[in-house]
Amino acid sequence: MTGQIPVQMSIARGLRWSRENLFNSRGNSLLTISALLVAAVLGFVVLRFVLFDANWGLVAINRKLFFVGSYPADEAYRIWIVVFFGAALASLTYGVWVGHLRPYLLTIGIVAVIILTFGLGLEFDIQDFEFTNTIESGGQTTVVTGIDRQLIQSGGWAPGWLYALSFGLAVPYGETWLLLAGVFAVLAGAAFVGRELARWRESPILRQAFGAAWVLLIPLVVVLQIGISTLHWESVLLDFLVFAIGGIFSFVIGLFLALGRFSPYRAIRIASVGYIETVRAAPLLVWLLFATFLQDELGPIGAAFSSIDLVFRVMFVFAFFGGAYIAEVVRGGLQSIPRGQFEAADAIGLNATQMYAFIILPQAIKAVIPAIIGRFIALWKDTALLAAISLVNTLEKAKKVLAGQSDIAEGAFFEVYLIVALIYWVVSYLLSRLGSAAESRLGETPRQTR
Amino acid sequence: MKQSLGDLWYRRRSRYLLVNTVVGVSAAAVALYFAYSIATNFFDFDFLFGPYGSPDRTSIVPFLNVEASDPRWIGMLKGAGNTISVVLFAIAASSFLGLLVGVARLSTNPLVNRMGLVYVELFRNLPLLLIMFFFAFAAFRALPRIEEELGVGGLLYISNRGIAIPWLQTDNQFWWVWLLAVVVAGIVGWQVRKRRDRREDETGEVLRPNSWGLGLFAGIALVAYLGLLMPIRPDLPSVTVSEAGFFGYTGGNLLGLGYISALISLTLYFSAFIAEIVRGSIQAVHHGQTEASASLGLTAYQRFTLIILPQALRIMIPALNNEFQNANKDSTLAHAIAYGEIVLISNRIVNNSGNLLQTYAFIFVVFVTTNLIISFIMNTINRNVQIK
Repeated sequence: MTGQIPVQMSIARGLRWSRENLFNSRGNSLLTISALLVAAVLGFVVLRFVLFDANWGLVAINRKLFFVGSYPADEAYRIWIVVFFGAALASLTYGVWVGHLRPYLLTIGIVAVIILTFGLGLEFDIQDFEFTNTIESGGQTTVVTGIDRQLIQSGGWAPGWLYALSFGLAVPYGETWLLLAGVFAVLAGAAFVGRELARWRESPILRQAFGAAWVLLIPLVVVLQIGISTLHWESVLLDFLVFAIGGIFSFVIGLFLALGRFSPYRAIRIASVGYIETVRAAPLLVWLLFATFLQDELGPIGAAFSSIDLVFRVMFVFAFFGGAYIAEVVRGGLQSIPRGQFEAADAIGLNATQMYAFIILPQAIKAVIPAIIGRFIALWKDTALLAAISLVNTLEKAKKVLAGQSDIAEGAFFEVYLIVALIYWVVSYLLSRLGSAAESRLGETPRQTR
Repeated sequence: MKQSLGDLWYRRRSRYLLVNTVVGVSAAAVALYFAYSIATNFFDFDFLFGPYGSPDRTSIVPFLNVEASDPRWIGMLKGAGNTISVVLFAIAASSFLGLLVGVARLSTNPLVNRMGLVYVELFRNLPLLLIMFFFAFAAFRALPRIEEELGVGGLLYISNRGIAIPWLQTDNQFWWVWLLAVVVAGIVGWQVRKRRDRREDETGEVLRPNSWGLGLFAGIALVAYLGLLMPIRPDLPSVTVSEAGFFGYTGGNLLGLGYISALISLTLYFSAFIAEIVRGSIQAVHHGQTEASASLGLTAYQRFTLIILPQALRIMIPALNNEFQNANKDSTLAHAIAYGEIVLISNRIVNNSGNLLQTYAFIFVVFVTTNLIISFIMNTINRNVQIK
């Protein structure tokens, strides 16, 4: 009996709540019912497809292609280093900055259990269908391993897609499972270390140091790619590299352009405005195509530019294009700084460099962090455009996987594009969450009195 | 007195002169370098008169289809026309949808509110190109073939070739006179409405300005239509089989995969952003306005259309201006799904003739011009909704 009372109460409360919010007038009731119908139909169609109708085999088997493309299997450790470092850093930062461990650990635990159990099941499934053929021709014997196409044709396989998303990086599959378990262990452990660090020494410098450590991730990723041909930079790896390098440099360029717009020297102002407006006038795709097609039309400089590897040219375009937009964002921040700050900096005898470096820019950038994150989200989504200039990013990889296996997985278009959409979506959604977290956190800090 | 270099730097006027000269000269040098290298290649426009080469029939209006025999400059103009014909409808549709979703996001009904949130978060965080690929390479491919005649009773057919919609057909050569008459009817109706509206405001007589304006407009248009012996009539699509056994649409207008995918994708993507703008602007209107209009006894609909929306528009329009220009620029992505817009046409010309600078300069000019036009229109609207 005692167990039933709260249930009844919550049902009663739920009924009252829905009467007050969903059915409080005739119009609202109608709205609720039609919205429920639409949601039910959409949810039913999507869920039925994802769980029963879809054939996720093609996605699961090609999961390595979606993440690292044709990256040499022997060199996969380089990417695992980045993943481990990124996981440790993310967790440490969370521990230091936020410190509420229980919901965090719970989420990681649930995700880990889902991915690892379904993943392990999938490994066994795949192993059942693996075959080894020995081909003899001209006195030479070659051993070919592959996966029976029946696996893809049979369909079903709902849990497979969860695993397909879980960084299916390395071949053979058994190692991936172990490494993934390691990643989750690091995610959980590092959060504790971060919280203890924050307890041990509560200082803003520690927190800021962890913010700054993220910048280190980018050089690490780049250094680890030395010795790998750019031909093997594909899929998510390529998107991430272009995003990271383009993002960092566009921030620096944007900062200088914004300062240029505020310069007391007219020539610098005109040059900055001219640059920003020219770049913003044309779409990114047009600049990318221009950089792709350019040969010697722009004299020796153009010729030298066109001899650079296409991937680096694209990064260059991303940096300079993004810079023009970030400049506008930072300009907004600079304009929001009250005059008194400039005058006060002058009064205590700082020169222009010191004034901007220590007084103006820290406040200006802090004011526009959400908008800057918004620009980074746009930059991340723009990496999809590489598909339009014959670089093999995640989107282009999807097209290639579909084209290459059209004979055995005809009509798996939805599955493949849904997975690719999920990859892009998750990153930009997480970034936008970060942006709104920054917004609410910055909103809490007491404003400067004007 | 001896002047050192340091003095030059620490005196305001000489320093300004110095920096301005150095920066100005180096910027001018860079500009001159590019101008020179551009000039050596740029002024050769013979390629514009060569034939375009291969047909690109993806437009929604027949005269914008690029034919193989068209000169290249005609092709480029038609490409610009194709860009405009997708951007125009995308802007209209995404504004409408965005307004709807934005208002849904403000609904007190939690269910409707959440559905709006899901919509916004879904499309805002996906790359536009991916949405285009999804429609062009997955969604429309999954549709039935033309043979199955899936459609709405002779009005509309949908298949994996695109959507066939009713179109207009001209029966005699006076159709443009009728269009002119419609425009005149619109002006007359609008003026009458305005005048009666003002008199009603001044005197308090009941003059029904809206009914008068609409009635006049419809009346003049109808009389002209009958008087000109019905110059334009709707043209419905139908599925037919040729003698050789090939299926096809006759009549109406087939919106091809490229166009329809680009239109749907641009609409979904930008409506998510516009919904956020709408929501933000309406929330920015002071809550006292709602309460005051409620205490005056206005209905919820009147409160929204007469009090809240006009004030929200003032905040909304500059942001919408920005978003419309983005939609204009992002329509270039449609070239990746083989819609014959300006970039696709230009790239084909570059591939055939190699005149990169001239062709891309044209693209640049097109986008600067169209963005200026959008900006001009939005600024005009903005001036009209501001408090005078």
